[in-house]
Amino acid sequence: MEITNIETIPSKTITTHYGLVCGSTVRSKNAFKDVGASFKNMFGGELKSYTQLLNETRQQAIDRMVEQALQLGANAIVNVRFATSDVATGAAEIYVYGTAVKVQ
Amino acid sequence: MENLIAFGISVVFFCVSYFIGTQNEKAHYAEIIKREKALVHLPTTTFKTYDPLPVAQSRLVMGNVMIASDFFKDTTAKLASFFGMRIFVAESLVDRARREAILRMKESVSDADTIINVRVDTCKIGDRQKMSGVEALAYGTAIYFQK
Repeated sequence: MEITNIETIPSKTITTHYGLVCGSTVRSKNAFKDVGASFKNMFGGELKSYTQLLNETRQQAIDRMVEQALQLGANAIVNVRFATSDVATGAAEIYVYGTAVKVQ
Repeated sequence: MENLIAFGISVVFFCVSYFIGTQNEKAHYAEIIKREKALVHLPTTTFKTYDPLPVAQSRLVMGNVMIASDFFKDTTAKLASFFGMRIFVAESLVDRARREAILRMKESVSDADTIINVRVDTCKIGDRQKMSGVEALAYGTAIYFQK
Protein backbone atom coordinates (compact mmCIF):
# COMPACT_ATOMS: atom_id res chain seq x y z
CA MET A 1 0.00 0.00 0.00
CA GLU A 2 1.52 3.30 -1.11
CA ILE A 3 0.36 6.41 0.70
CA THR A 4 1.14 10.03 -0.23
CA ASN A 5 -0.38 13.41 0.46
CA ILE A 6 -0.02 14.69 -3.11
CA GLU A 7 -2.49 14.03 -5.94
CA THR A 8 -0.44 11.29 -7.57
CA ILE A 9 1.98 8.51 -6.85
CA PRO A 10 5.18 9.78 -8.51
CA SER A 11 6.37 7.75 -11.55
CA LYS A 12 3.09 5.76 -11.64
CA THR A 13 -0.23 6.32 -13.37
CA ILE A 14 -3.62 6.11 -11.71
CA THR A 15 -5.96 3.73 -13.51
CA THR A 16 -9.01 3.57 -11.22
CA HIS A 17 -10.48 5.82 -8.54
CA TYR A 18 -12.35 4.16 -5.67
CA GLY A 19 -13.44 7.31 -3.81
CA LEU A 20 -12.93 8.47 -0.28
CA VAL A 21 -11.54 6.20 2.41
CA CYS A 22 -11.14 7.20 6.03
CA GLY A 23 -10.12 5.93 9.42
CA SER A 24 -10.71 7.42 12.82
CA THR A 25 -9.84 6.67 16.42
CA VAL A 26 -10.97 8.28 19.64
CA ARG A 27 -8.53 7.98 22.50
CA SER A 28 -8.73 9.32 26.01
CA LYS A 29 -5.86 10.19 28.27
CA ASN A 30 -4.63 7.75 30.84
CA ALA A 31 -5.15 8.79 34.47
CA PHE A 32 -1.86 7.15 35.50
CA LYS A 33 0.11 8.83 32.76
CA ASP A 34 -1.62 12.04 33.74
CA VAL A 35 0.13 12.07 37.11
CA GLY A 36 3.45 12.45 35.34
CA ALA A 37 1.94 14.95 32.94
CA SER A 38 0.62 17.19 35.70
CA PHE A 39 4.10 17.19 37.26
CA LYS A 40 5.59 18.16 33.89
CA ASN A 41 2.98 20.89 33.64
CA MET A 42 4.72 22.68 36.50
CA PHE A 43 8.01 23.19 34.64
CA GLY A 44 7.23 22.55 30.98
CA GLY A 45 9.00 20.29 28.54
CA GLU A 46 8.00 17.44 26.31
CA LEU A 47 5.31 14.99 27.42
CA LYS A 48 6.81 11.85 25.92
CA SER A 49 3.93 9.58 26.93
CA TYR A 50 1.47 11.82 25.10
CA THR A 51 3.67 12.10 22.02
CA GLN A 52 3.78 8.30 21.98
CA LEU A 53 0.02 7.99 22.57
CA LEU A 54 -0.90 10.33 19.73
CA ASN A 55 1.59 8.66 17.43
CA GLU A 56 0.07 5.22 18.11
CA THR A 57 -3.43 6.63 17.68
CA ARG A 58 -2.55 8.11 14.30
CA GLN A 59 -0.97 4.83 13.21
CA GLN A 60 -4.16 3.01 14.19
CA ALA A 61 -6.30 5.45 12.20
CA ILE A 62 -4.03 4.95 9.17
CA ASP A 63 -4.31 1.16 9.58
CA ARG A 64 -8.10 1.41 9.53
CA MET A 65 -8.00 3.56 6.42
CA VAL A 66 -5.64 1.10 4.71
CA GLU A 67 -7.94 -1.80 5.62
CA GLN A 68 -10.88 0.00 4.04
CA ALA A 69 -8.86 0.70 0.90
CA LEU A 70 -7.76 -2.93 0.64
CA GLN A 71 -11.38 -4.08 0.85
CA LEU A 72 -12.16 -1.89 -2.17
CA GLY A 73 -9.27 -3.45 -4.07
CA ALA A 74 -7.07 -0.35 -4.13
CA ASN A 75 -3.29 -0.47 -3.98
CA ALA A 76 -2.55 3.16 -3.11
CA ILE A 77 -4.06 6.09 -1.23
CA VAL A 78 -3.41 9.63 -2.44
CA ASN A 79 -4.06 13.10 -1.02
CA VAL A 80 -4.12 11.98 2.60
CA ARG A 81 -5.11 14.57 5.26
CA PHE A 82 -5.12 14.48 9.02
CA ALA A 83 -7.66 16.14 11.27
CA THR A 84 -8.08 16.31 15.02
CA SER A 85 -11.09 17.20 17.09
CA ASP A 86 -11.80 17.02 20.79
CA VAL A 87 -15.05 15.17 21.20
CA ALA A 88 -15.09 15.11 24.99
CA THR A 89 -13.03 16.53 27.82
CA GLY A 90 -9.66 14.82 27.86
CA ALA A 91 -10.36 12.83 24.71
CA ALA A 92 -9.13 13.45 21.19
CA GLU A 93 -10.34 12.13 17.88
CA ILE A 94 -7.78 11.52 15.18
CA TYR A 95 -9.29 11.38 11.71
CA VAL A 96 -7.40 10.53 8.57
CA TYR A 97 -8.84 10.50 5.07
CA GLY A 98 -7.72 10.16 1.49
CA THR A 99 -8.65 8.88 -1.95
CA ALA A 100 -8.19 5.18 -2.70
CA VAL A 101 -6.80 4.52 -6.17
CA LYS A 102 -5.27 1.78 -8.24
CA VAL A 103 -1.89 2.60 -9.76
CA GLN A 104 0.29 0.95 -12.37
CA MET B 1 -3.56 33.08 57.21
CA GLU B 2 -4.27 29.96 55.13
CA ASN B 3 -4.95 32.13 52.10
CA LEU B 4 -1.64 33.88 52.67
CA ILE B 5 0.22 30.54 52.76
CA ALA B 6 -1.53 29.37 49.57
CA PHE B 7 -0.63 32.65 47.90
CA GLY B 8 2.96 32.32 49.08
CA ILE B 9 3.20 28.79 47.67
CA SER B 10 1.90 29.88 44.26
CA VAL B 11 4.35 32.79 44.18
CA VAL B 12 7.21 30.37 44.91
CA PHE B 13 5.94 27.99 42.20
CA PHE B 14 5.63 30.92 39.79
CA CYS B 15 9.28 31.93 40.36
CA VAL B 16 10.69 28.38 40.32
CA SER B 17 8.67 27.54 37.21
CA TYR B 18 9.90 30.74 35.53
CA PHE B 19 13.57 29.88 36.09
CA ILE B 20 13.32 26.17 35.23
CA GLY B 21 10.92 26.75 32.34
CA THR B 22 13.06 29.49 30.77
CA GLN B 23 16.17 27.34 31.12
CA ASN B 24 14.37 24.37 29.48
CA GLU B 25 13.18 26.59 26.66
CA LYS B 26 16.64 28.00 25.99
CA ALA B 27 18.16 24.51 25.96
CA HIS B 28 15.44 23.30 23.60
CA TYR B 29 15.96 26.21 21.20
CA ALA B 30 19.71 25.59 21.14
CA GLU B 31 19.07 21.93 20.32
CA ILE B 32 16.50 22.79 17.61
CA ILE B 33 18.91 25.18 15.87
CA LYS B 34 21.71 22.62 15.99
CA ARG B 35 19.52 19.90 14.48
CA GLU B 36 18.06 22.24 11.85
CA LYS B 37 21.60 23.04 10.68
CA ALA B 38 22.46 19.33 10.53
CA LEU B 39 19.41 18.62 8.32
CA VAL B 40 19.65 21.62 6.01
CA HIS B 41 20.69 19.29 3.12
CA LEU B 42 17.16 17.81 2.99
CA PRO B 43 14.85 20.28 1.20
CA THR B 44 11.39 20.51 2.71
CA THR B 45 8.78 22.41 0.76
CA THR B 46 5.05 22.99 0.69
CA PHE B 47 4.95 22.60 -3.10
CA LYS B 48 3.31 19.62 -4.73
CA THR B 49 5.95 19.54 -7.47
CA TYR B 50 9.49 18.20 -7.44
CA ASP B 51 12.52 18.07 -9.73
CA PRO B 52 11.67 16.21 -12.96
CA LEU B 53 13.83 13.18 -12.19
CA PRO B 54 12.82 9.50 -12.17
CA VAL B 55 11.39 8.64 -8.76
CA ALA B 56 12.25 5.35 -7.08
CA GLN B 57 10.01 5.58 -4.06
CA SER B 58 7.57 7.92 -2.39
CA ARG B 59 5.76 7.64 0.90
CA LEU B 60 3.91 9.52 3.59
CA VAL B 61 6.08 10.62 6.51
CA MET B 62 5.12 12.33 9.72
CA GLY B 63 6.51 13.59 12.97
CA ASN B 64 4.72 14.72 16.10
CA VAL B 65 5.52 16.16 19.49
CA MET B 66 3.56 17.22 22.52
CA ILE B 67 5.04 20.08 24.53
CA ALA B 68 3.65 20.95 27.93
CA SER B 69 3.11 24.45 29.12
CA ASP B 70 4.35 25.40 32.60
CA PHE B 71 2.89 27.14 35.60
CA PHE B 72 4.57 30.44 34.73
CA LYS B 73 3.22 30.40 31.17
CA ASP B 74 -0.26 29.42 32.34
CA THR B 75 -0.41 32.20 34.91
CA THR B 76 1.00 34.83 32.55
CA ALA B 77 -1.44 33.77 29.83
CA LYS B 78 -4.35 34.09 32.22
CA LEU B 79 -3.24 37.57 33.27
CA ALA B 80 -2.56 38.67 29.70
CA SER B 81 -5.90 37.42 28.41
CA PHE B 82 -7.62 39.33 31.22
CA PHE B 83 -6.25 42.58 29.78
CA GLY B 84 -6.43 41.47 26.15
CA MET B 85 -2.67 41.58 25.67
CA ARG B 86 -0.48 39.60 23.30
CA ILE B 87 0.28 36.23 24.92
CA PHE B 88 4.00 36.12 24.14
CA VAL B 89 4.61 33.07 26.33
CA ALA B 90 2.35 30.94 24.11
CA GLU B 91 4.12 32.03 20.92
CA SER B 92 7.42 30.40 21.83
CA LEU B 93 5.57 27.28 22.99
CA VAL B 94 3.83 26.62 19.66
CA ASP B 95 6.92 27.66 17.72
CA ARG B 96 9.01 25.07 19.56
CA ALA B 97 6.39 22.36 19.06
CA ARG B 98 6.10 22.99 15.31
CA ARG B 99 9.82 23.15 14.66
CA GLU B 100 10.40 20.02 16.72
CA ALA B 101 7.67 18.15 14.79
CA ILE B 102 9.19 19.16 11.44
CA LEU B 103 12.63 18.07 12.66
CA ARG B 104 11.32 14.67 13.77
CA MET B 105 9.69 14.17 10.40
CA LYS B 106 12.96 15.03 8.65
CA GLU B 107 15.01 12.84 10.96
CA SER B 108 12.77 9.84 10.26
CA VAL B 109 13.73 10.02 6.55
CA SER B 110 17.15 11.66 6.59
CA ASP B 111 18.19 9.55 3.55
CA ALA B 112 15.36 10.89 1.33
CA ASP B 113 16.06 13.39 -1.45
CA THR B 114 13.24 15.80 -0.76
CA ILE B 115 10.03 16.12 1.24
CA ILE B 116 7.18 17.82 -0.59
CA ASN B 117 3.71 19.09 0.32
CA VAL B 118 4.52 19.50 4.00
CA ARG B 119 1.55 20.40 6.19
CA VAL B 120 1.77 21.44 9.81
CA ASP B 121 -1.14 20.94 12.14
CA THR B 122 -1.57 21.81 15.80
CA CYS B 123 -4.06 20.62 18.33
CA LYS B 124 -4.52 21.80 21.85
CA ILE B 125 -4.73 19.10 24.48
CA GLY B 126 -6.53 19.66 27.74
CA ASP B 127 -9.41 21.74 28.90
CA ARG B 128 -10.57 24.63 26.81
CA GLN B 129 -9.99 27.15 29.58
CA LYS B 130 -6.48 26.06 30.46
CA MET B 131 -3.45 26.02 28.21
CA SER B 132 -1.89 22.76 29.33
CA GLY B 133 0.02 21.81 26.22
CA VAL B 134 0.29 21.90 22.46
CA GLU B 135 0.59 19.00 20.06
CA ALA B 136 2.16 19.64 16.68
CA LEU B 137 2.02 17.29 13.71
CA ALA B 138 4.03 17.70 10.52
CA TYR B 139 3.43 15.47 7.52
CA GLY B 140 4.49 15.31 3.93
CA THR B 141 5.56 13.05 1.09
CA ALA B 142 9.17 11.90 1.06
CA ILE B 143 10.63 11.39 -2.41
CA TYR B 144 13.57 9.12 -3.21
CA PHE B 145 15.05 9.67 -6.69
CA GLN B 146 16.56 6.84 -8.68
CA LYS B 147 20.29 6.73 -8.15
